[in-house]
Amino acid sequence: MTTTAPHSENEFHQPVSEETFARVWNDPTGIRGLLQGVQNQPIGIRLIGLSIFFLILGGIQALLMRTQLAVPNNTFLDPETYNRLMTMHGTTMMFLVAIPMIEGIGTLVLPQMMGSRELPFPRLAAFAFWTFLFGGLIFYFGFFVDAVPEGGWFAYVPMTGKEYSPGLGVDFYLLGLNVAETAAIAGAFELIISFFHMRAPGMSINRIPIFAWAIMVTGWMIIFAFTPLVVGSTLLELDRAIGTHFFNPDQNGDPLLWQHIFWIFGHPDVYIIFIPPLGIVATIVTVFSRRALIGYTFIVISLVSLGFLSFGLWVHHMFATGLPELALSFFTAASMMIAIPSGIQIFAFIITIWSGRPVFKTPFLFAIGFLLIFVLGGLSGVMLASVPVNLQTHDTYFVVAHFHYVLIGGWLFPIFAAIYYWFPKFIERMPNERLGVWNFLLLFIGFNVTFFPMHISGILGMPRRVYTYQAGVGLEPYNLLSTIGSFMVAASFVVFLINMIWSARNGQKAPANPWNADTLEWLPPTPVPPYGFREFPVVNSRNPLWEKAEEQVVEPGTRKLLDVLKHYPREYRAQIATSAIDARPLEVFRVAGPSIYPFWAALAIAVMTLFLVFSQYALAGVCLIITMFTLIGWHRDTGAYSKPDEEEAFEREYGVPLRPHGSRVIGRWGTILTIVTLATALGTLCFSYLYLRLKPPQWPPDGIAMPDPVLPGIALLVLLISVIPMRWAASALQRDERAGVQRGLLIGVVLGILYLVGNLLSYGQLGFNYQTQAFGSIFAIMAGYQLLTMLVIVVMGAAMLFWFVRATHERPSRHQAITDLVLFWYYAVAAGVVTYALLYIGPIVI
Amino acid sequence: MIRTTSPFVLGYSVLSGPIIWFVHFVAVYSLAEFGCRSNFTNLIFITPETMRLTMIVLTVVSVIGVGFGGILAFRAWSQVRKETSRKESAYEARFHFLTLLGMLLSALFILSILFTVAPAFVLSVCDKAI
Repeated sequence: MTTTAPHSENEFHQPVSEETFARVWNDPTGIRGLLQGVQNQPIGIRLIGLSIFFLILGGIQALLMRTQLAVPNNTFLDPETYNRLMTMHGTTMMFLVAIPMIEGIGTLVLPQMMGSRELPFPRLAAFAFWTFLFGGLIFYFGFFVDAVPEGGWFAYVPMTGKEYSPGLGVDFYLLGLNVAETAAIAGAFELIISFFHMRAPGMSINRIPIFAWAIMVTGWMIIFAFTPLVVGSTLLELDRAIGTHFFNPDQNGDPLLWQHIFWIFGHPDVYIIFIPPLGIVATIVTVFSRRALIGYTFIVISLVSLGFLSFGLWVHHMFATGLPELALSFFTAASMMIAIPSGIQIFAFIITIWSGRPVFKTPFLFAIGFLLIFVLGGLSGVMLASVPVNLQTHDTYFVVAHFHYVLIGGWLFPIFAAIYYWFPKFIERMPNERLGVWNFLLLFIGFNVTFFPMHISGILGMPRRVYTYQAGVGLEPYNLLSTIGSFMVAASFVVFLINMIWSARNGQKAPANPWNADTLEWLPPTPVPPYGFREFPVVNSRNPLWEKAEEQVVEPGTRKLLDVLKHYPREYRAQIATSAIDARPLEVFRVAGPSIYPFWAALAIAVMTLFLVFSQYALAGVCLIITMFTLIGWHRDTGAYSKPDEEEAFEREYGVPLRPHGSRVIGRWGTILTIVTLATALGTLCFSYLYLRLKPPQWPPDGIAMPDPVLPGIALLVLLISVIPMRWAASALQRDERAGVQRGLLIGVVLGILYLVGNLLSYGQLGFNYQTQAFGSIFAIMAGYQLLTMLVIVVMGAAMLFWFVRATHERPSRHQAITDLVLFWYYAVAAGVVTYALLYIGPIVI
Repeated sequence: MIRTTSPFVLGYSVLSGPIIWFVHFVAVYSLAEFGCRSNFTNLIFITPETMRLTMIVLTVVSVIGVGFGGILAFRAWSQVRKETSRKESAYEARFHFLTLLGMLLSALFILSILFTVAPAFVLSVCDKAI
């Protein structure tokens, strides 16, 4: 450690040993490391391990179901147990296996693949792991209190309403999964920001690995798809817990609303699950074909198009619900269109293999398996896009066959490929090739034996989600085959586990780049140091490790910066933020180090969720307060790294700012993504409002008083006026005017409080409450959303003002978080306008 | 070195296709679903008779919006091809990539918009499959 602050190039360049450099990057060891560690590699491996654990559970559930269905009229399982297993299997695989695995691989591989040392918010990554874990455990906790959901992974109402599912099983499902979904969204933030601003210098947007593109697209999709589900689950839980009527048709609610919200999540979720594997396959096909990927631009276009088009498919799960034909046809069109980008990628992969010199190692075998199986799944998908075929095969085993071909072909095969591929880098041993081939063959054959017959049993009319079938209707051989195949799949998984355990202990030690791969994660030595790259790499092509030395060009300024970053800063974990398009260095900033608070925050949320399940609202409130304290602890910054002279000298010398307080670029992106998430939630509520409005002929329905728009209107006016002082505060901050910032913030916060008070007073005058039909319920949830958003932002504003006033020794412009607050404020004002328009003007005009 | 094209133009040409497609998609679906669900009692300016016309107007506007992005991208792409030597600089290469991305995305999403709305010319507005 240095004792004096450096101020010149020579002082910045003072060499430090590997040990000294590694010291700031090492997480604690032992149990402390387990609870406090934030580094991307261990967190990524933990997420993958968690996913494999749940995969085993989900796989056992599948085997039990297949055993039951092996012969007709079987009594191995009773109907109730079958329903529970069916629900747990689907839910586990979709929420607790697929998403943690994808985010785990992203967390593990992405930073190093992009030439970065860390993720942008390492503590958020740790939080995502803990919330996945606790969310999964809450979901499975139901087994211990005999409260297991039975309504399928889709949880359709009214079956999952209080009347038909009176126990706590559905509550465990809704609330437990909400915790896991929060984890998914948190992980998505990390991956999106990594893509845009945490890349090696020179890795311009046309040189980013396809895997990273896939992860970025998936990150956005998670935000736009999971947020509606969180909202939908909350609405259903409110119906069950406190008697709102969102889905109750007797009170002008609508069960179909749940299906819309669920599938707005559910269909993109399929693509969320298989887009990252497309990136994995692209990576592996390139490496094992020994040539650059053909059609890079086309594959990028395909990934982006898939991300968007997948949001135009949700109603094809609802073709049998009696919607107008014309509306259905729009979804047929989108469902068929999506075959184009999917097909483009498959062609690009085939051409790359065709024109390369393929090396048939285990990862490549799984990639080939993906191509074959996924194409079959895609073809049955195009069939299902057609309304007549869909109606004919609706809720039959044909659909089960289709989505397993897509999900196992499109997810499991590439995931096995990925694990075998990156195993040498992160576990430091080579996987056993012979066992790998057995793993592949058993899975490939077993999978087809299991699921291909289901196409036939489905066409013969065998319904899905039914615990048995009659003898003598021609279904016996297909079901028996499927059951035999499922045990072959299980055997392949056992071989996989043996291979992983054996290879991790006895495998040949892995060199730095055993596959002669082209991407940057293979550049550091094996084992990978905790910081990944001591010297940040510079990228000049799409295949950086295949570049020739003479192709490597580095601008002198960038070279100077990268050289100094080998030795400096020495007191904290430093990372470069680069520009989104050209990956030019923008700033050097401190990424967060180890902390116990992500663990405590996740635990507090988990305990709060359990209290909510058991309707212990006061205790849940206590946990909420504890959660807030953990978040304060999480973000608490003592300012120990603040050395303004040193920072100014660094910027003078190297041309980019040094920000030990944290990145402005990354912080701004965090704010934007939070706003996008909140806006998506608001959009879901607006959709629900309009959907519910269409049912009764009048709005509000007969017997409910029209909400008075005057007082909330005045409050809204006050809120609109508050934009002016907040804008002053942001401008004053840029000019380093302390008084202007204080004045602007103070007036803004006071006006925000007035808005809250005005709205609270108006609620007291309403002639209805949250139980007054669906109208009262949707009014209450939207008003509550806006109130909560505003309350949070007013508290944040007050806290920032407090910290700002106290920090008299610092330059105002150091408090850039205030500009993020102002941005957030603008959003809250916009949300206020939207909610007011719908809640108070809506009943008058629609 | 090629002339600078503003980030707005590049951004518009890349993003207009997917975003306008989505807005168009939600708009035409909402018209069909919400209109039929409420028997058109709540849509003040739109009746079953005028719905097809409304969809056509929306489609034309959307295609123009996406097409404009595609044209911008095409012009920029042609400029890159004209002004760069055989070996592109890093800046030119990424510019070339973004313009190509804009052109192809615009083409794909114009096709998607037209494909989406095509059934409106064949099917009656509120008939049900079951």
